[in-house]
Amino acid sequence: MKAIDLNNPIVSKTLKEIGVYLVAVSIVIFAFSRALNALSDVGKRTTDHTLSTDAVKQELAKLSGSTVALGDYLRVVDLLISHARVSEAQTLLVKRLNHIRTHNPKTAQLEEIVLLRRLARSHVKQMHFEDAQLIYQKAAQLAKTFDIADQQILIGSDLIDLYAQYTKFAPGDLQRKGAEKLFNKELEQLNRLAAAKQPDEKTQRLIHNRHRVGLIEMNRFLELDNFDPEPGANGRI
Amino acid sequence: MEKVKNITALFSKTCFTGTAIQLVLAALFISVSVQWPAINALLIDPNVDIELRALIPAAIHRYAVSICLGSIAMSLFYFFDSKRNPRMTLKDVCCAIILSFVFYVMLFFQTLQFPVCVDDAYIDFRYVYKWVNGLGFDYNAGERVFGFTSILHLLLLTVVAFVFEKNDIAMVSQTVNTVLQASTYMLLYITTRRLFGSNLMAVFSACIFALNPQNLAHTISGKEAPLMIFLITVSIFAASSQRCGLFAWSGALLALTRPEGLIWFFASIFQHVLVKGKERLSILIAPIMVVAILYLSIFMYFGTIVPHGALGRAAMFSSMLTPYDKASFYILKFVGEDTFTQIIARLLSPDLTMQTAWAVQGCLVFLLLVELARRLSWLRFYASTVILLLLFFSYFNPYMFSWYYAWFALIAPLLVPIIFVALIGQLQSLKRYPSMLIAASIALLCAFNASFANLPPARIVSLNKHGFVTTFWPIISTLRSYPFGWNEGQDRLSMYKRACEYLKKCGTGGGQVATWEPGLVGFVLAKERILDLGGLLSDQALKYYPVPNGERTRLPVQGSIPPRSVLELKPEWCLFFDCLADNGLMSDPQFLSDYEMERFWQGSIMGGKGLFLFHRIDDGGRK
Repeated sequence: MKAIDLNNPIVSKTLKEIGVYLVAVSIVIFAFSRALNALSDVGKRTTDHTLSTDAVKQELAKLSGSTVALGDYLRVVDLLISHARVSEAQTLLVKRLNHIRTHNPKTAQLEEIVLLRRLARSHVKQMHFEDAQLIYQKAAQLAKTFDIADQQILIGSDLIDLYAQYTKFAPGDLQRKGAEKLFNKELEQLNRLAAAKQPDEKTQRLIHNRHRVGLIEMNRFLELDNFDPEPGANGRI
Repeated sequence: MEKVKNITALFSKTCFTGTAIQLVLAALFISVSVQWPAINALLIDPNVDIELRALIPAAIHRYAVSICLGSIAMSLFYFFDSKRNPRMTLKDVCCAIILSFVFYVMLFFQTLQFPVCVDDAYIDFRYVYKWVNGLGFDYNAGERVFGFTSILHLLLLTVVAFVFEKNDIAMVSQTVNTVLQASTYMLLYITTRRLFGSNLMAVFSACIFALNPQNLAHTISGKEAPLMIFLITVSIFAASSQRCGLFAWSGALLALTRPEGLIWFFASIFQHVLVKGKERLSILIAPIMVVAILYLSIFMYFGTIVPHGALGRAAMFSSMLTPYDKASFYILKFVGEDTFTQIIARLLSPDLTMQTAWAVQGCLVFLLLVELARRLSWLRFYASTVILLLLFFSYFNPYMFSWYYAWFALIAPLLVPIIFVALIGQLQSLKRYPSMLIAASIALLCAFNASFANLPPARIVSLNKHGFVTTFWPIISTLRSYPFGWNEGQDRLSMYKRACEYLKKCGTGGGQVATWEPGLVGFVLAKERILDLGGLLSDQALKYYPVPNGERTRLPVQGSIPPRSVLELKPEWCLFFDCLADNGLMSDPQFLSDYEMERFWQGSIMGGKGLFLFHRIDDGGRK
């Protein structure tokens, strides 16, 4: 068998051409594989890198023991909720609720209400609106029983926000129709309560914004005091 | 008889016939502007708003002017061409008619548009507006952020806007783009005429370029893509005609047009050294110096040569809605479709439901390009550089923006005529089998028909909603017409414009205006401080990405506003569509306590309800 003469200009040119062709083919195959990756990624959300398992473990380690302040506890719960780790947040909330109900039933009404509101909010994030509604109602009952006005108002504003969320259901949905009525009823109650108890500016603004956002969610634009009614306002210059 | 001979002799003169064709066609196309009231009902989207319709007379005026200038340019071309080819055959006359007709068709589609560009282009326009009017160099005074990507495009717009004293930068940009596209069209024709050795094939190549819907989208977008395509064509022209200086300069200018243009520039230096060896290396010194000085200046001023937009785009998007969102798939899909329309994809997936078929089709085009480049030396440089650029885009696989595709825009105009000639050759070998010849001819005609069905600008992804089917070529297929194209994206911009006009009217009090899409907002509020929540122009916002999963929008949008960016950076004004904030800011009790909803503009953008304007209230009253 004869050895290939690499010094032969024809041979070296051919080899060079084959090499270049192979490189080009490899790049095209690489592009194809990336395109297939893109195809498989459609609809997926990119991984959330901001909260690693280790970070969660570290945060949870800080919560052991009954002396943890409510603020610290809620910070971890909020962190978990914002990172869509809702069930972990709910476990924590239920654990704390059970703890305070067992150990200091009389002094912890406010804390219980706050925890229930957070629990309800976690259900809203999961779009489990009925569960959220039940928990809010329970919290509202507690706030009323112990006459905690601020919380009553905040729960009211949470509820109008919740009823507005029902617009995520299809237009003909019965729950959605019912929610619109409840929205009006709750708003009325809330306004009465706010007039009587005079909450701080921030709470008033929260109620005001939620009311208006709620109206928008329900397509009741004409009831807005800042809606631009000029002709051509609907998405046009 | 003598008279007939004289007339025939007169029409065989290139200069005379070329000019006569221009006069007839220009008159025909200008009559469109005269007859506009009668045909606008057919061509304009009925949903277009009255205020936008008010912009149409000015556009028609620009169209008439462009046809006049175009006819002068084409006449001059034939005047100079007559020195190369003093006499025309009948085939040459036919080619001249087709070339001129498609040229005016291209002007028709490119100039009859609203002067409204894509949002990203307005980031550049804010810089241009500020430079022209002496309002400072940076996007926000005192913030040294490298917020633009195309140095050359911005300089070009600045010069044109300054010379013509125009502050409507969007219109300036679209006009510059139209001129560049028309120049590319003619230069491509001149280049391919020499390379293919056939007038007809050169016309075919130029037509493929002119009628590609992507090119129309590039002009409307107002971005730098037409400049890139023009410079690429200059580069191919220079390489094929051994003009080393022009070749080096076109590479240098491409490096100043896009950051990835540096790949092209280095490849052109390599090519020069490869072909010429050490000979005439001095030609490279000036272009290298210019590129080095400009990039060094950028580095000295901004501390980086990486555009901030690249960092922002790598961070701000969190979900993919279609495979076209990513560069690798988009490039393969459209390179394949530009070259083979749907032919190969349909073989693999008759109903085109299998998306992989598009990627396979694109891969075959790149392989064909490489194979042809082995045989055709003039194609080698372009083929190897686009392969490198394919590697670049596939490796980083960024979220796709249509102007990235400009690097690949000349593949179809260069390949399709070659494929066509090869197929005709194959058909000739079937002469002995007439039935096979008929079948193959029908197949070829069907392919041709399929490509015509896709004529401008039917396949513009972003304009397809309001596409209008006209019937002036019903025999071949329905041909869509998109003068004054309008879509949801531009609806979005007009809502931003309304909001900005409101803010201008009531005054921002010197407060910072935060928005996720800083383009049009930043341009209209050119004198205000803008906080870009997307991170294209702001370092501050980048640290809040990726947005936590539980705070991302539930609507079909690629990204969301990170709530913490607003709560911690505390801008005085916050302008956003609810589709970017429905599961974040809009449901955040702290945001709803600290900010007050100032105004709302209804518009179902990306599944949301509309545009919201909030302002921050500090303790003790409005900030």
